[in-house]
Amino acid sequence: MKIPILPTQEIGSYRKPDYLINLWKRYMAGEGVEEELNKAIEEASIETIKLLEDVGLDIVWDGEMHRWEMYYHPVTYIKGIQFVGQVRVFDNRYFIKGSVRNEPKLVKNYHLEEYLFIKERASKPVKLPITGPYTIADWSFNEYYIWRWKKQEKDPRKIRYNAKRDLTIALAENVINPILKELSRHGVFRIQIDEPAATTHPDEMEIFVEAFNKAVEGVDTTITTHICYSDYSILLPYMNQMKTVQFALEFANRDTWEKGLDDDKRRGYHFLKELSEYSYEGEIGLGVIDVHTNKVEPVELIMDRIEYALKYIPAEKLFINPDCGLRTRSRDIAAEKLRNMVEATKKIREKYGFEN
Amino acid sequence: MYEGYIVGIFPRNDSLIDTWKKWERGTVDDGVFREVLDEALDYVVRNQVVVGLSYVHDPQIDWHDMFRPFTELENVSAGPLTRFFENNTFFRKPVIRDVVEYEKGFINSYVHRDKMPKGRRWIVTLPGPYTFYRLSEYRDGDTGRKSIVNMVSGAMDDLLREGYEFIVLAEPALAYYSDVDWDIVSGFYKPLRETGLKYRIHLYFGDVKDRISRLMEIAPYGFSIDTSYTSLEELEGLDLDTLVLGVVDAQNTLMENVDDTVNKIRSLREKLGCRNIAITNNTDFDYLPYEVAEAKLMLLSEVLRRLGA
Repeated sequence: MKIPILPTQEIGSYRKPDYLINLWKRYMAGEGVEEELNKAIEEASIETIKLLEDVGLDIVWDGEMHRWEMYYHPVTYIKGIQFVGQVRVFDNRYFIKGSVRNEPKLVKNYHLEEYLFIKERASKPVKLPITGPYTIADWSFNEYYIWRWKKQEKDPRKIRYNAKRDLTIALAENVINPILKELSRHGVFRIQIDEPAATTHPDEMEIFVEAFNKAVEGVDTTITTHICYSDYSILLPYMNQMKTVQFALEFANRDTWEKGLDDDKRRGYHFLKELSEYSYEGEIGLGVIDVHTNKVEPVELIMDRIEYALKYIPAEKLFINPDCGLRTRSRDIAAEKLRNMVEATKKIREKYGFEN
Repeated sequence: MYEGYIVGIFPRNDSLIDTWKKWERGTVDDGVFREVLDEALDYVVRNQVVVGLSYVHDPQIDWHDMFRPFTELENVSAGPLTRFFENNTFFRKPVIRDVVEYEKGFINSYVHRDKMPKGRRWIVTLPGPYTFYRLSEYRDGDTGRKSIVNMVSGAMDDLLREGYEFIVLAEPALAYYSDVDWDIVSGFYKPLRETGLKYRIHLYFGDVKDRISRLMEIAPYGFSIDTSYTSLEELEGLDLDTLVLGVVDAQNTLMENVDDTVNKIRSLREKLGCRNIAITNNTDFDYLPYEVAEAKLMLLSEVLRRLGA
């Protein structure tokens, strides 16, 4: 499918409509509302695909309507990981965390039906975001492999490292790789592997890269990745080693709201300069929308962010997106932000003589 | 002599998490919220007494993170959400705008002295000054250091006067970072030592075997070793008055084997010149779901019992 220069895309989650949130909550509380929930998921999915197409994105999907959240959803379908309770993320915000009690095995391709449903209803190319093996491993308690390594190793550092490697590779090989292969057989346009935990443990970068590459081995489709709120200088030396065509990264969150193209105004995007001095030649998904504020980025500011990026990244390698999933914003505000993003991108295309 | 106690923030139970959310949304009133919080606080305190720990730790379940009470003081505020070391847990970075003066008695409303049992020894955890310094934002280093000395020593003084036996100073930064500035660390701890305020330094998220001599200088009442990072074999020959061993892993739900743990501690004791060995969780139980934290607290008490304490 043909996409224009500077394609616009969403990253992942979009806020669910209230009727769906309520049904998800009731379902999670064990109220037996599966049938109603499935109907609501379909309804919300169609609404969101339409919304993202109407705002003018070039690559779309349904904003995670089929999923409670990016960790809970995959773990539900992985044998060997058991949910053990709520663990704090910050303040009074918690997530339901799992413990790895055995070798992880895939119960069911938890993205296939979702993808087929979206593909059927989308009129634009579809990108499917999938939580990556390193992030699932990092956000789980690793009981099984720690227990195994404790039997043969005394050094606690080696126990922790080896156990993490074993778990991450098992997730890549047993869970993510078969999912990706099956999806690619169904002709998915692009698959985005989400790895927000990628740079959390700098001494585990080799594990992250090895697992990523094993996850995509033999997969015949375009693979991209999304990483956010991280120290990208840790990632930089590994970017060329990863079998991905794109890194979609968050930048707007660290940028100023002042208009202009100079380094001081565009301080959130300095990494691009560092990147241009490195030999990376792949695509960059440019985060131009801060997903943690209701303030809507003006078109001119987004244009400045794109133009600044064009100093370092060739237009044919640049994709335009929000920093991260927009689920923390209301549907209306998120749509307004995306509309401005699309309009800014169109104006840049016109300015540089690219086809809209 | 063996001692056992827990350190750091204890997790909230499901009922408290849920009530807290409703209270924030305004769907339950202050009275209901207070009742659920009180019940949870009482339970965590009572549990430590029942299982026979040597000290009763203030549960701190109402603390959002280790710095949060202090960001209520003038000239400091709760800044952006920031990742806490290598965890999927975030804290509000303290932003120090100008020198922070500690207000006498300030910390007393954030601990639960009224819930602590009579006839028992009480302890509580505060952020260690170096970790506070590394994880804060400030106008300049001098302002940051002065403010942190004022806040930490002021709070310690208040709490010790209120009857807490000693203060646990959480110092993951001293274990985690490879570029610790020991002059700054000494600048914090030398005056603290001179005040005579009693504290133990709690270290986690890193291996400290190469830092022991420096730690001995700044921690006259003892410091801890996180045994999920530092091998006990590497501590042989260590000559200390008090060594604290973080033997219960608060970052994994895997339950430690009690026999193995007891044997390792006994064997280490024979090879050390330590008069006192204390056993604890390696870091805050807040990284675990409530039920698992409770089970690990029981496990800690079982190890303590088996050691004959």
